[in-house]
Amino acid sequence: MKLLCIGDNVCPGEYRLHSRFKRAINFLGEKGFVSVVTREVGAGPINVVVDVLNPNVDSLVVEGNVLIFGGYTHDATKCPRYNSRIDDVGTDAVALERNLGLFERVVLSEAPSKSLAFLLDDGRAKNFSSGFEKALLERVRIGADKLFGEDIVEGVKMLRGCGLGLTPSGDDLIAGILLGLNLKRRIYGERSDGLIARIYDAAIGGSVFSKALLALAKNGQFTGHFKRLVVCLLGDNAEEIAIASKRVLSLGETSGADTATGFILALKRGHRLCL
Amino acid sequence: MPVKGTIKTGEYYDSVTLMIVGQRLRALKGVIDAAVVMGTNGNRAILKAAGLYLPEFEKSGDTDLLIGISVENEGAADEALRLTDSELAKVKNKGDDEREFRPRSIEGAIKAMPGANIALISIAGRYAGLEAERALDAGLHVMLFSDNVSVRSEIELKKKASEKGLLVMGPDCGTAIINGVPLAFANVVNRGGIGIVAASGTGLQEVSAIISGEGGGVSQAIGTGSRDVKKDVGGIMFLDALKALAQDDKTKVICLVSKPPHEGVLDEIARTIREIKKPVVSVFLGKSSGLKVDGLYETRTLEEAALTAVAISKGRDPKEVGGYLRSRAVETGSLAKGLSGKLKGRQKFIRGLFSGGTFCSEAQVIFAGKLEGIYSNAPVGDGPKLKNSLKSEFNTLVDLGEDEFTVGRPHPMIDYSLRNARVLEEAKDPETAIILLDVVLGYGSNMNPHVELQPVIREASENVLVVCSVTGTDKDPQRKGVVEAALKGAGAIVMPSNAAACELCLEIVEGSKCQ
Repeated sequence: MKLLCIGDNVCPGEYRLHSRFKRAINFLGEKGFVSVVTREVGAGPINVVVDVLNPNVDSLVVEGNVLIFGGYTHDATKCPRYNSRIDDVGTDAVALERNLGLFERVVLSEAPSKSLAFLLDDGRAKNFSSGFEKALLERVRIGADKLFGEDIVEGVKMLRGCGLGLTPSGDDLIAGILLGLNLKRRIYGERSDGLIARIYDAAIGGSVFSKALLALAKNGQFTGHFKRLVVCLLGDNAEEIAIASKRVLSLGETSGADTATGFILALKRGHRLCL
Repeated sequence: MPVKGTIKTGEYYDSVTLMIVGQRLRALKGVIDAAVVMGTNGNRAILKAAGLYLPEFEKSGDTDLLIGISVENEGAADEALRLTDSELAKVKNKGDDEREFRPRSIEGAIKAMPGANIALISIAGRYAGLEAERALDAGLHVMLFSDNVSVRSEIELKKKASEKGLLVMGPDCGTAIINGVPLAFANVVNRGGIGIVAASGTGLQEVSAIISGEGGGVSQAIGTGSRDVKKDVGGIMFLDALKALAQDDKTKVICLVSKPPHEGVLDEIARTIREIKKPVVSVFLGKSSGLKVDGLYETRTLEEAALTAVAISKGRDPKEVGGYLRSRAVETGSLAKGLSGKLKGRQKFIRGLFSGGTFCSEAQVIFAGKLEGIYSNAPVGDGPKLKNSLKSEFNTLVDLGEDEFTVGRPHPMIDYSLRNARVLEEAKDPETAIILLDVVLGYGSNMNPHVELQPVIREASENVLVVCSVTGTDKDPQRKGVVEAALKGAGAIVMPSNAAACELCLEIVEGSKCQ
C-alpha cells in the first residue's frame, strides 16, 4: 500500500477500526476520525489516500511522519499534505454568481433520483415512492422551509439524521449549507461565525461520524473534489465546472448530491438566514 | 396492517446496500412497505410518519440499523426478515472474502492462478498499455476494457500479440464470450457453431443474443475494439480473429460485425475470406463492402446478420431470411397504422435515447434517406451533429454512452437515471412522436431494468409512443421474457430487435404524415 496524500486534519494518535466499505476504511480515535480511502474518494481533511486499499487493515497509528497500518510502517515524510481550507482560492464574486447556475443545472441533470435535489427542483419529488421516502421528503421540505424561514434551529433539527447511509442525507445537506456559508464568508466578507455555529450546534447530536463531518464543514474544510469545484466556480471554464460538478456528484450514493444541494441553497438563499 | 421489524446493533452498511435491500423487501409478495435505515432521531420520526415504527425502536441509537416492514401477514414478515438477514450477510461476507490474497501485479496474478490464459485489464488508460504488454510477455491473451490507450500503443500491442499468436481484444473492448464465458458486458447465450468477430460491443451483444434466441449457438465471440478496423491499426486483430475462427473445429459459420472498415482493411478481409472454406456473414453498418466473394453473405442490419448466420448453421437457405423480413415488414406496417392514429397535432419527431453506441449508429443507418433532419451527438458519416447533446433538434438520436454523459458517472447500461430523466423531458415536448429506447441485459448491465423503466415509460406513454427493443436472453440474470413483459405492461411497444424497432418508428412517422 502506498501513501498518496494525507489530509490536514489527520491527527497523531491511535485509532481503532470503525467501519469498512469498498473504497474507504474508517478509523476512530480520541481525536476523531481518519479515513483511509482510494483515489476515487480522493483527498479530504481526514483522509489518507492510498493506491490500493488493503482490506486487512484494522488498526491505525499516526505518529509524526509515520503511519502504521495493521502493523506495517509507512514513512509519510514525502507524502503530500492536502490543504482542505479555501484560504488559497480566489474571491471573484462575479464569477461565482455567473457559474452557480451551471453547477445547479448539472446537479439537476445528474443527481441521483433519490437525492435531496428536489429542494432545487420540486419536479424530482415524484422519485420518492415508498412510504419512508414520502415521509422523508415531507420532513426535509418542512425542515428546509423552517431553516430558510423563521426558525433555523427547528429546521436543522428536522433535517439532521434523516435518510439512508452512515451519514444520512439530512446531515450531508447541512454540511453542504455550512460549506456554502464558509465560501460566502470568504467571498463577501460576511460575519457569519455566529450563524454557522448556531447551525452546527443544532445539527450535532447524531452519530460520531456525522458529528465529525459536520465539524469539518463548520470549520470550512472541504474535500478535494469539492475544493476543486470551488476553484472552478471561481474561474471561467464551463467544461471544467461540469467535470468537477460530476465528480462531486459521484461521491457515495447520494452524499455528493445532497451536499451539493445544501451548498447551492446556502449560496442562493443564505441571505435569508438570520440569527 | 401489522408492522414487523428488528434492530441490528453496530452494523454499518453504505446507502447503496440499504437502498437495494429496501427495494428487495418492498418487491416481496405480502410486503406493503419497508425501510432499512440508521436509528437516528430523524429517521425514527420518519418511520413513525410512514407507519413503519415499532416501540422497541425507541431505545435504538444512531449506530443501530432499524428494519421496519409493513406486511399483509405473519408469513410475509418472516420471509422478509430472512431476506434482510441474508442480503446483509452477503455484503458482510463479501467484505470477508476480500481478506483473501489480492494480487497487485500481472505477475502476482499469474502466480495465484497459474492456469489462466487471458488477462482482463480495466485500469486508467495511461497505465493499461504497459500492463497489457506484461500480460502478453507472460503468454496471456488480453481483453483490454480500458479506453484512452493511444493508437500507437494499440498498434504495438497488437503487432506483438499477432507475432506471438495471441489476441488483444480492445482497447475499449467491453464485450466478449470466450469458451462460453461472458466477459465484461455480455449475455448468457447458447453454445454452438457460430463464431463472431466484432469491432462493436453492443453489436456483438445483439448478434449473439439473437443467434441464441433463434436456436443457434456461439462458439466464440471475439471483440476487437472499434479502432481496429480503421486505417491506422489496419485490422490486425480483426483479421487474426477471423483466421483463428477459420481454424477452430467448433466454428462452422463466421459472423463479422463492424462499422465500415477502412478500404485497405476490407481488401485484407476479402483476401482472407477467399482462403476460408467456411461461410462468412458480414454486417458493416452503413455501407455495403462491395466485396464479391464466394461464401460471403452481406447483410444490412445486426438482426439480419444473426438470422442469416443461424439459417446457414442449420443448413437452411439464407435467402429465407429476406423472405421472413419482408413478411414481417408487412405486419410492421399494419401495427404502425394503428399506432400513428394515436399521434396528435405537432407530434412528428423520433427521439432515440441509446445506451449502446452501435444501436445509435444502426438507427442512423436505417433512417438515412428516409427521414429528414436526423441529428446525433455521435453522427455517422456526414450527419449533422447536435449543438447541445442535452437538447434535441428535429429527429434526434443520442448515444448516452459518449463521454459528455459518462464522466464521473456509471455507464447508461448500468445507471438509468440520466436516460429516465431525458425520456420524461422528451415526452413533454409537443413535437415528440416516438421515444425509441434500447434495453441491454446481461452481466455488467442494470440488474432491474424493468423496475426502473416501468414508471418512466408509463408516464411518458401518456403523451408519446415508446418503442423499444430488449437485447438479451432468458438465461441472462435479468431474464429477457420477464423484462419484455414488464415493459409491455407499462405501455411500451417492444420489438424483437433494434432494427425492427427502428423500422416500426419509420412506418409510424410515415403513416402520420398521410393523415
